[in-house]
Amino acid sequence: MANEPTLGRNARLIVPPLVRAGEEFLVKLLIQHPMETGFRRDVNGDVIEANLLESLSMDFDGQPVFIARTMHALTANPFLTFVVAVKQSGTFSARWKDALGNAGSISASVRVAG
Amino acid sequence: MRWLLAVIVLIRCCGLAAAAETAQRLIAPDALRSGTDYVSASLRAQQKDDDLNPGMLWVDQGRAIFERDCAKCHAAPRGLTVKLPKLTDNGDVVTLERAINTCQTTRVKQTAYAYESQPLLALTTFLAFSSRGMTHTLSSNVTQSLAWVRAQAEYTRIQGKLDFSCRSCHDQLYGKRIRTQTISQGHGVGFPAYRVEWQTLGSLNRRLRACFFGMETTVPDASDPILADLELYLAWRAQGLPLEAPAVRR
Repeated sequence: MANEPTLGRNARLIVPPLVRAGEEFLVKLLIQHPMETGFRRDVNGDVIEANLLESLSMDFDGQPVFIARTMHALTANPFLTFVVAVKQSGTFSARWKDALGNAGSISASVRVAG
Repeated sequence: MRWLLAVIVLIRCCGLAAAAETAQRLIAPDALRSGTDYVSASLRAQQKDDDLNPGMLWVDQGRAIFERDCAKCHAAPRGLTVKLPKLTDNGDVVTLERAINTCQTTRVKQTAYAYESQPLLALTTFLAFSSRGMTHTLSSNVTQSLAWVRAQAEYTRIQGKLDFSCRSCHDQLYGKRIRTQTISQGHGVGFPAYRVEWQTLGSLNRRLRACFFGMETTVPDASDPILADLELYLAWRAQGLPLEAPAVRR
C-alpha cells in the first residue's frame, strides 16, 4: 500500500500515493524526539541535559528539497509539512541529527501518474 | 421482639438499597463525555488526524513489537484490551500493563517492562489503538469486588490541601472551569494519551499520579495497587464510551 505511512524507527513520513507531474502536494513529517531545551529539571532538581535536533534535511532522489537548522523553539516530537511538486516518480528522504549525535532517517516514495 | 426484627429487616433492606445505589453511576449513560470534548479545538483536530497525532509514533513501534513477540499467540490485536482491567480469582486487578508483563515473563520469557518504558508504552498504545471505537466490557459483578470498593472509597475521599475528592470535580462539576481549564468527566478511554504538558505520551497510571499531584496530596508509586483499582473503577464509570487511544490531551 503506497499510501500507508512508511514505518521508520522514530518517524513517520507521509506522502500521497499518486500525484500528477508538476502538481503541488503536501508532505508530512513527524519525528519522535524529546527536543530537550536544557532548561528543565527532573524530580531531583538536576538539570536535564539539552538535546535538540540540530539539522534536518530533506531530499528528493538526491536533490535537496530543504535544509533546516532546528532550534529550541521547536516542539517535542516535531511535525513539519511542506508543499512540493515533482516531475517524475522518486523517493523523499529525510535525515536528522541531534546534539548527542543520534542520527535518524526515513524515506517514502511517490509515484507520478502517466 | 417482632417489631425489633421488623426494624432490623427494614434497616438491612435500606442498607442493601443504599449499596445498590452506590453501584449506580452518577453520570447518566447518555451524558457521558470523553475528555476529547473538553480540550481545545486544535488538540481535537490533532487527535482526529492520524497524520498529525504524535501518539501514532508509539502505535508504529508497538505494532512492530506485537508482530515480533505477540502475534504467535494472538491472531489479531483488535479487542484484546476491552476486557481490561479485569479481576483475577484472588481479587487483584490486571491492567493492560500487567497483562502484557505477565505474557512478557511467562510466554515471551523476557524480563518485565518497566512502567512508562518506551516498549511498554508502545505496546499498550498499539493495543489500545487496535480496539478503537470498541467499549469496555467488564464482568457484571465488578462492583461487588473489593478492588471496586477500595477504588470507590479512594475516588470519593476528600484529600489534599485543596479539600477535593475526585468526585467533587469529575462527577459534580464537569464542564465548569477551574481557573483556565475545563473540568472533564475524568474518563480514561483516551489513554495511553499524548499529553502536551508532558511533551510525550503517557499511561493512565501516570495520569492518575498527576491527578494526586494536582490535588496536592501524597502521590502513590506507579506500582501501588490503588492505581490499578482506580483504573478498574474508571473503566466501570466510562462503560459505553468508545475507546479512542492515542488521545491528545493538554
